[in-house]
Amino acid sequence: MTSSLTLRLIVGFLVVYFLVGAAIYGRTPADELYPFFSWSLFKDVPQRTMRINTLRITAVDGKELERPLLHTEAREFFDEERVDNANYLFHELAQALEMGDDAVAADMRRRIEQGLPPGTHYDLVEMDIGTIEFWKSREAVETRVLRSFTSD
Amino acid sequence: MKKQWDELQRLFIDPDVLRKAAWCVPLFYYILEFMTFQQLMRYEQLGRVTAEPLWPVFWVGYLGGYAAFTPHIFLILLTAATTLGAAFYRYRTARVFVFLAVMQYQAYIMSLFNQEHDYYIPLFVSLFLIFLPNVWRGAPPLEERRRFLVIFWGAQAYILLTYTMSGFYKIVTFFGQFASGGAHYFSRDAAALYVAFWQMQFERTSVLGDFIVEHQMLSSLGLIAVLYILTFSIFVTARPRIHRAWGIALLAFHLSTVVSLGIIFIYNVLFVAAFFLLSPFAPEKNGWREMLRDLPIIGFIARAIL
Repeated sequence: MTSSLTLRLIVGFLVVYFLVGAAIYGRTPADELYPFFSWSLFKDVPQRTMRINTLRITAVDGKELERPLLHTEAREFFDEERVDNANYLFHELAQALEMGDDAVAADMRRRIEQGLPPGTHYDLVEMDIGTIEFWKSREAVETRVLRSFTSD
Repeated sequence: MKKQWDELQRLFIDPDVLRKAAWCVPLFYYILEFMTFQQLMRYEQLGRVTAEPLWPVFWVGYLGGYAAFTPHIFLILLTAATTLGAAFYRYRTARVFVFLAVMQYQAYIMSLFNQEHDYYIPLFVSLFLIFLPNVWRGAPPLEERRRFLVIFWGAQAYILLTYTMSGFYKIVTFFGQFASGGAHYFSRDAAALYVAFWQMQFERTSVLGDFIVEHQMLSSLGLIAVLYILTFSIFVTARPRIHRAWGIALLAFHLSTVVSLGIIFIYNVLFVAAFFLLSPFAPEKNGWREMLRDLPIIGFIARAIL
């Protein structure tokens, strides 16, 4: 293969890579279609007010906690190392419950519960927050319990 | 642009450039070896999660009673390949082995976890480098020397393209967010919102998180600089005089994600250093006026006044 042909092939590859990235953008999970990726990282500017889903632990090993703990406050009960991208899973679980998609909900629960001891009672909650205010104080404007579960 | 392209064509046959590029190639394989060490530290994490395998690792589904050994198989494969690659990078067989192992390992960890992007650059750069002619022995003919540098340049171009695509989609998203009336990339509080949201997502703090939230205007100007660096990266491929300066700019961008969001792209930092701070195409001496003139967009103004 000559160097001129190599150069043309490389330029062609780069163009194709960009175009495939554009084609899968917004159409595949995480804008990826292995081995292509759109590189659309951190593209959305987070909004000033948000609705987020998170997990609140209420009882462990049959004992009720003094107050429900957000998963971020309960490191001794929630092993985040075993749950990849936990916030994404909470959101997906909430979506699946709303859509009545039992298979996805069961899969999300299974993945979330990999980080919880068996027999843990927890709530999937929905919070309305001011993004910067919540970052500063961890105080939500409003919190609603969507569903309560016990880990297997 | 044509002038810069002609200059690059001249550099493709420069023996001095070839000598420097031949030293950068092993550096890439050493970085892959370093990545392997980091992956070995994830052993326990890999063993605790199961998922649907992506197509390159479909065979994992047929391991049956040996499924518990899946992390071992991938880590052994990756370790063997990157060690051989670091030692025998001159041989195409070793480079093919590295590419295949990287593809297998990447597909495996992407089957397990979301947001695993570290191995995209190694995957495609190792694919490019497979086709390098062996210029490390004897006196290779001119055509082989030129092909070696064209391929090396292609690897550089791929790395820069990934940054450009990242900037491009920020611009695409800006139009949507602006039209919907919400916060957008050029909002005064955009940087503060990035910090607050992503620190919450990853449960992290950062050196300058508080400062960015308190000084929103200043930090949002920084975001505009980031957009410029990312979006115009691909144009730097044909401007060897600013390869090093752009490498420093990309490192500054990576530094900014560490001090603001608390997120580190450690491997990208190493690849940028190996391919741009040490770019074989960059001249030994560089005047600041020439560099300014070569900058994308800014160069138009610089050429008019300098």
